[in-house]
Formats: sequence, C-alpha cells, structure tokens
Amino acid sequence: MKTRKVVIELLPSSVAVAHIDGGRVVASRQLDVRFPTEPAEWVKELARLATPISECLREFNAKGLPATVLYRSPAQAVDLVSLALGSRSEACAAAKLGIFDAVPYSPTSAVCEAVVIGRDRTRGNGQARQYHIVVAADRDDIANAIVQLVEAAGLSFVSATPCDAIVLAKLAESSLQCAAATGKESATLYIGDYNSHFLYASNGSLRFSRKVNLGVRTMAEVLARPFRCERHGRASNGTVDDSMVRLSECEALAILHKHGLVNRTAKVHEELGLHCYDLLPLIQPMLQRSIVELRQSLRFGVPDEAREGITITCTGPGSSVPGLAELIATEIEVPVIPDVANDTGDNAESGAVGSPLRFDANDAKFCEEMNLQPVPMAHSRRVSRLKRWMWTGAAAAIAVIAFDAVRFNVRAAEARRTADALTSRAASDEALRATAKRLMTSMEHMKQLDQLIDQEIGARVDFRAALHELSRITPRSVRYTNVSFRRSQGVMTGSLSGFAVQASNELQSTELRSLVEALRESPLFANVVLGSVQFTSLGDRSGEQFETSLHALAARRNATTTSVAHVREENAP
Amino acid sequence: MKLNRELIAQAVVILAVCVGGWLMFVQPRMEEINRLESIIAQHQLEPEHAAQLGGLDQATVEYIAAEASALRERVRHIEQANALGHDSSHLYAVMMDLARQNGVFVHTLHPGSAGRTTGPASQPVTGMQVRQISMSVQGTFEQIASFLDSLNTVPGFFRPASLMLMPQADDQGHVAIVANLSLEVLSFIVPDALLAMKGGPHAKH
Repeated sequence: MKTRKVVIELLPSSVAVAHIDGGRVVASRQLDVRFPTEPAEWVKELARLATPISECLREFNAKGLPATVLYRSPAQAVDLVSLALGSRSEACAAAKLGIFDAVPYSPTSAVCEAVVIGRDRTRGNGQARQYHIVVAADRDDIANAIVQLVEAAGLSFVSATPCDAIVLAKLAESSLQCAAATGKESATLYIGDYNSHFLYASNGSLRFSRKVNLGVRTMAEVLARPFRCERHGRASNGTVDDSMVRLSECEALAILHKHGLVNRTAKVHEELGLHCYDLLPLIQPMLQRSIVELRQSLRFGVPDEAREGITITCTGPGSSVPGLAELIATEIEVPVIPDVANDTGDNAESGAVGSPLRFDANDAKFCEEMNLQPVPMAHSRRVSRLKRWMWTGAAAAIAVIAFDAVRFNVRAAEARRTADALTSRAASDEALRATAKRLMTSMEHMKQLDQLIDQEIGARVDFRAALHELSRITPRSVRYTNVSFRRSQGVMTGSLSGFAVQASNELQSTELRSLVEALRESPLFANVVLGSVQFTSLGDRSGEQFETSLHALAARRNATTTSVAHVREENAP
Repeated sequence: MKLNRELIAQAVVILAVCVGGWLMFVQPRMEEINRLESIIAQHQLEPEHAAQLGGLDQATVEYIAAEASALRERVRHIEQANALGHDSSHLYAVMMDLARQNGVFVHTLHPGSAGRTTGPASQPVTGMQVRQISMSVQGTFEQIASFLDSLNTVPGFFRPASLMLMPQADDQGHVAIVANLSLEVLSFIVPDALLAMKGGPHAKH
C-alpha cells in the first residue's frame, strides 16, 4: 500500500500543496492565488496553476504520486442531511435528489456524491432513527478541470473532495460519538474559514444541525474592503482618498487572530493607527446575523429542558480568534468554550485545527468515498472495480471448483472402494446362498436315494446263517432233496423238500414233526407251513416225503447300505 | 450505467469457464457419488432383506460345509458300488475270485442284461438299474455257505433273487451240493444335483 501521496488544497484565496508520507506532512507550500467567484473564470484560473504546482512537486520530489484534492469552488454545494429512511442507499439517493434542488445547475451537468456518516442510536420525539448523510455536488466542468490540473502537474488523480464535506463529516461523526460516549447533550459550534456549523446531539442521536454564515476568512474579507476612518490623517497604502482605509486580507486575518474582539480600545495596526473599535462596526452586521441564527438554532433545535445547562464547544479556526467565543456566549447567553485541546496555535497554515489537510491525513477513506470526480472517470473506475471484483470472484469460483473437484474425487474414490467391496460381498453371499440351496436340494435327493437303497437292499437274508440253522435243527433222519429260496415281493420265500426216514419199521413215525417245530421256533424263519406229506419208501427205507414252505427273515448287516450319517461317523476324527 | 461490452464479454467468459469447469470436474463426480451411494445403501439393506428371506447365518454355513463333505463321500461310495453293475468283466472276475477263495467250482455264470426300473413314486428323483445274473456253483455245504456269505463283502449292491440247493453224489459216494444262485446287481441312479456337487465328469451314473 502506498503511503506517500500529495494533497492539494484549493481555497478561494490560496493554494496549498502538501507532501504526505505515512500520514505525516513532510513538506508543504502555499501559493497566493485569488480565485474568481465566477465558475467559468475559476476553471480558467485553475488551469494556470499546473506549472507552479508542478514546480512544487519537483521540489518535493513527489512526481507521479497519487493526489487528493481538497477544494472550495464557487459552484459547490455541501450539506449535512438527516433522513429517516429504511436503508443507506435510499438515504443517499434522497440526499442527492435534495441537493440538486439547491444548486443552480442541471443535474446532468453535475457530479454528486453522498456518504452516510452515521445513524441515530435512539429515536427522538417520536421520530424514526435517522441517517446522517454528507452530500456534495459540483459542476462537472469544475471536476474535469481539477482532474486535468492534477494530471498536468504530473500526479495521479485519486479524489477531489470539498473541504466543507470533510469538516461536516468529522463534526457530525465526533458529535455522534461524543453524545453516545457521554450519554449527555453535546453542542458544537464550528467556526470555519468561510462557514460555521452548529450541531446538537443527545443520547447517541444527532438532533439538530445548521449552517451559520460566519467565517474567519469571511470576516477578513470584510475587513479588507475599503472603509472610511475619520481619525485617519494621512494617506496610506491602498487609500482611496484621505479618509478611506484599506487592509490587505492577510493583515486583516492577522489582526483577527492576534487581537480578536477582546479589547475595543486596543491598537490593532500601528502604521494605520487603527484600533479595534475602528474595525468592529465592519463585522458587526455579520456577527449579529450569525448570533441571530444561533439563537434561533438554540430555540428550535435544543429542547427547553436541555437549553438551561448546555455548554457549546467552539472549534475550528474561529475558536482561536480572541474574544469571539466570549462575544457569542454573551449574546446568546449560553456558555461557549473554545476547544483548547485541538488548538495548535498555527491557524494560518494548512493542517491547522479543522483544516482539511489534517482531516485528510487522518481519514483518507472518507475522501475516497466523497469523491466528486467526473462522470466518465467514475464510470471507468466503477467498471474497473467491477472487473477487479469479477476476476477476484472468478478466481475464487475456480478455486472453489478445484477444491470441490478434489473433494468429490476423494469421496468418489472412497465410495467406489466401498461399493466394490459391498458388491463383491453381495456376490459371495449370493453364491453361498445358491450353493446352500443346491446343497439342501442335494441332501434331499441323497435322503431319497438312501431310502431307496435301504428299501431295496437294506435288509437281506443271511444264507450262511440260514443254512447253518437248517443244518443245526434238521434231525439226522431227515434228508433234504431240494432247498430253494426265491425272492418275491420283497420276501424271501423258502421251500424245503426232503425225506424223513421212519425210525422203526413197526412205528410209522418220523422226526418231521420235530423238524417243523424247530423251524417254527427258529428266529431266522417264519411262516413255516408243512405242505404235502407222503408216506413212501426210498430203497430199503420207508419214511415221509415232505414239502415245507417258510419265510427266511432278512437282517441288516452289509456296510454297503450305510447312509450319509454312517459315512459321517466313519469320517469323523 | 451504460453497458460495457468488454465487461460483459469477460463476465460471459468467466461464467462459461466456471460452469464448464463445474460441469467437467465436479458434476460427473457428484453423479458418480450419488450412484455409488445408492448402491451402497442398497447393499446395506440387503442383509436385512436376506435375513427376511431365510438368509444364511454362521451356523448354517458351518452346517452346510460339514454336510457337503459327507455328501461327496457318500456319493463316491455309491458310485463305486454302482460300478460293479455296469462292468460284466469285473463282475465275472469278482465272482471267480470269491469262488476260488471259498473253494467252490463255478459251473455256469450268466451276467444277464441290464433292465431299467424307476424308483418308487415317493422318490421321484431317483431310480435304479437291475442286472440279473445267475450262476451255478458246486461245493461242500460249508463251502457253499461261505461262498454265499462272502457275497456280502463284494463292494456293490447285491440282492439274492433265488437260491436252489441240490445235493449231488459222485461216483465215489461223496455228496456235494450244487447251488443255483440268482443275484440282482443294482445300480442306483445318482441325481444330477449330487453329481454336480461331486464335480465329477459323470453324467448320470
């Protein structure tokens, strides 16, 4: 940030050029110039200042620095407006419209700016909280001339601000702050070079403000006019005739600051032999008008209950004029105290108390806001600002997009990993479910197959056991001629054919009966039925030829028929 | 305020760059994230859904693993037993071995043709194939009994259909027994589901 800059102060009777570095005035030069009061002539006079200002800058080594112009032009209008509106922009727009009613030129050929200084903290007298706006307007040819002057002098134009606007802004701001900080009434009378302002604030709100036509330089200008002095006996410099006296403006200003209005009999000019009582009649009308305006302000702007104990603080260049504050206090019957704290005692130069140079050094931001620049320049700067904002916004948007892209990429990668894992797990689960289903089906099939196997070959006749049983229970007198078994409808049916030998020739008895009994008692046979029996002889022996049918009982014994459960037991560790 | 063409052009370019960048780099990722999150949400709901549909728990999985092993072993046993019914030469060798081991003399051995039968109606997925073989062997009573008993040790599905024993005396008066034996060799049809679980190349049997 640049800390060096140049401030040019254009006043009706002087031009000041100051080189400021870091908020401190490092060099300044004052040029004696008397600007005409007609705007067109003012512009022409301004154009002639380029060369002397450029020489000053060369001396200050301040070429090319940014320049802030504080000026007082004959066409400028500055006002402090208080409006109870909904927003700052509405208040500024209304203030601009209001000031255009007060200027004699068209709004289309004017430049205008409004800055909100503050807002009331409380409501007063049933009114809404008010915005306090400093609004300023000037002709655009004057604004163009100022820009051309700055550029011709080799500087970079920053802003052009009316001096009164800065004074008003600081006054209003300090009054609001003072009233808010103390919570009491605050009355301030600023006596400037050309104008004065009276402000009354209470309880954090600016209740009243009024412009008073009283100024130190204005008084000096009045004193610098030729006037008749009866006691003046000799011709002097600037005399019209023997009885006319004329002071220069510097002399008048010096007299005001040195002698003031304290002692009516004091000699204020040795060479001309002028006394204070010679000069007072000249400024008395102005003082009387100002005092009447102040009385009216107190009467209508300050509540009755507050008027009794109020004390007015007098600031500005006029506060250092001896006796002026006392005179005003005597006339309006209210204590008026000069603001001694801000009195540097150097009122004749730029940067004094209430001087725009001091304000600018402390509050350059206000000067940039209250900038009466030409409309094309304002438009160009607005476009540049828009472009700057736009590109800044674009950079931010691209950064956000890049950040979002990175963030979403990371999230997408993480989600992709999670989804892949879940998909894989779901596929595994699905495969497992399918396998389980197949296995369940297989188990059911295996169960049916085992049942079939068990049904078909689960129980079988043990022929070895059956034959041994037959051998055991068959008596020796019985001979089999045929032993057969046949499976029919799941039952092994046996047929025994044989010959039972007669025990003796006398007795017609055999052991067939005992054989049948033994067969019936055997656990391996069932349904033993003795069929046909025929007594016959076989060779030299006689006996009974018989046929017996029976069922050979089946038993489970083969491991081949083991089921799944059996296999599981075999495989178990 | 008058329109500034340069400003508008720059604004349009910036807007296009920003929108294009967003459409190129951000929006596709957002859509992908939405799609993936819906997939994730769907998968996270699935376990509950699966549980409602009789999903698998840890105990079921362990049970399935144990049953699968037993089933495969059982199918292997059944197929080994079935193999004898399909190979007549093997069957012949087995019978002759048994006869030699038990000291009986085989007069005749007729491996019959295979005939297919279906299983009972209560077990529609299975069936069996029956091969009828008949043989005539001669030996002592004990040899015949041992031979009949040893048939139970053959690794196959055998079922005696008929047995006829007749004593026969030779010239020296020794009595031998001739046994006419009819056997049914069974081959049980293993369902495809069991074969598939076994993973072997067998189609039906």
